[in-house]
Amino acid sequence: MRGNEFLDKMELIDPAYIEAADAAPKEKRTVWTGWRAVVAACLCVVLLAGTAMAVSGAGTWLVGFLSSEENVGTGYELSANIGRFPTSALSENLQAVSEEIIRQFQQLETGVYAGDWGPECWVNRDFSADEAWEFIGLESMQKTPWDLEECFDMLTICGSSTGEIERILIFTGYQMGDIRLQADAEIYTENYTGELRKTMRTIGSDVRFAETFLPTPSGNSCQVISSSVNELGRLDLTGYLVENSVLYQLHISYQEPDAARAEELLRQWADMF
Amino acid sequence: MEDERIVDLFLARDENAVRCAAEKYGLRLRALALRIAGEVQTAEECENDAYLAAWNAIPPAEPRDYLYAFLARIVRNLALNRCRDRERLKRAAFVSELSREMEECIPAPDDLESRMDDLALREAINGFLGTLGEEKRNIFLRRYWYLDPVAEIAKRFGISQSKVKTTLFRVRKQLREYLEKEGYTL
Repeated sequence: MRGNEFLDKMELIDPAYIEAADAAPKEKRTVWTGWRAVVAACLCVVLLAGTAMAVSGAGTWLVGFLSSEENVGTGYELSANIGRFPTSALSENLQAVSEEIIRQFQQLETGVYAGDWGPECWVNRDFSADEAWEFIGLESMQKTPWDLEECFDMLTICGSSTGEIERILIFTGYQMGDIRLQADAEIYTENYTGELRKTMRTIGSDVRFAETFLPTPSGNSCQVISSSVNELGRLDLTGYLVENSVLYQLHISYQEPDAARAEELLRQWADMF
Repeated sequence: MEDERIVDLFLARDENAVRCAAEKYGLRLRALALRIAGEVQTAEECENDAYLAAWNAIPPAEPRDYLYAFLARIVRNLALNRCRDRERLKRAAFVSELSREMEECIPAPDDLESRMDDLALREAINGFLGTLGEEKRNIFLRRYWYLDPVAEIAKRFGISQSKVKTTLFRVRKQLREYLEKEGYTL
């Protein structure tokens, strides 16, 4: 047997060892050099700014970066301050969803639950974005300045085992040449008591992130997080904006030559608020 | 979704199995393929082919407790084969380098007459890995299973590259001695 065959035979290694080797090492020594130190210094400033924002009103702010040593890919974590929607303002359609969520939890208890998303979520992929807003009883608040065909839509409604609706998520995807866009709207109801954290990850161990803010015509502020090139050769540009108790996000995935176009799209989107 | 439920979907021939597996492990599998093949397009192909291979393999396989390892093993094989088949020189050179290192572990590299069967080899390799400390074992796996570059392993474990190289050298030597001592011939 030669070396290359023996390399192939490593596939015989016990799956438990394989899983264990892919987990984060138990003890790590952090080396604060180069851009890491810069990022850490920036993070201190950002955390202070975030704390100030948390005290002052609605919005999103960075709480930390995720390194590839601890997670799959690098990324960042945001916290958000968003008003809670009263469920009384939502459509009666949600009563049926609520009953379905209770049923899903019951199915889980009896071992017959076969859904894809966990019993707490009801998912519909058939609605367009406008239909999703209509279904939940609100006039469409998904603000997109372009007239593109929707590539995918997903309405997700999540609740507790007793059927109390806690979160509503409306995702809409678009494609513009090689640029991929995803516009999201998230609503949290009065029943949602958890802390509001969002995590964003990308592939690659050396991806860097930068934060800027864009003012909107209404005087609001859009938080923008941009990334350097990831292992797939793409960059990410994401805008976060809270308005009327809805968290809006626009995620743009693009390649370097489309950078100017991606920034323009984000600015157009922010200008809708 | 729990692995067990995803495997149930495979067993029930429900195509949602592939989607759920992709949602849960797609990123990690693609990253693994990308590390080996070094090309985005190939990495995506390997990932997609892995789901198809899993679809064909389950049943009879039922990897309820090790779905990620099961899928990752398929991706690893596919990516290694693509590297060799398509003569991607740079990546092929990387794989050759690893193969040379692996050869150091083999007591009789040219002896094709006395190959161990896979069952015995599985027992031997896992028996040896069981004798190693956790960090050494994980460093060995990161290099020869996940095919990580030395620099990335050093970063992952917070140690110097020279320490990684020394550790790998010693583990290779130990593996060779273990196989010889146990009477295994490859």
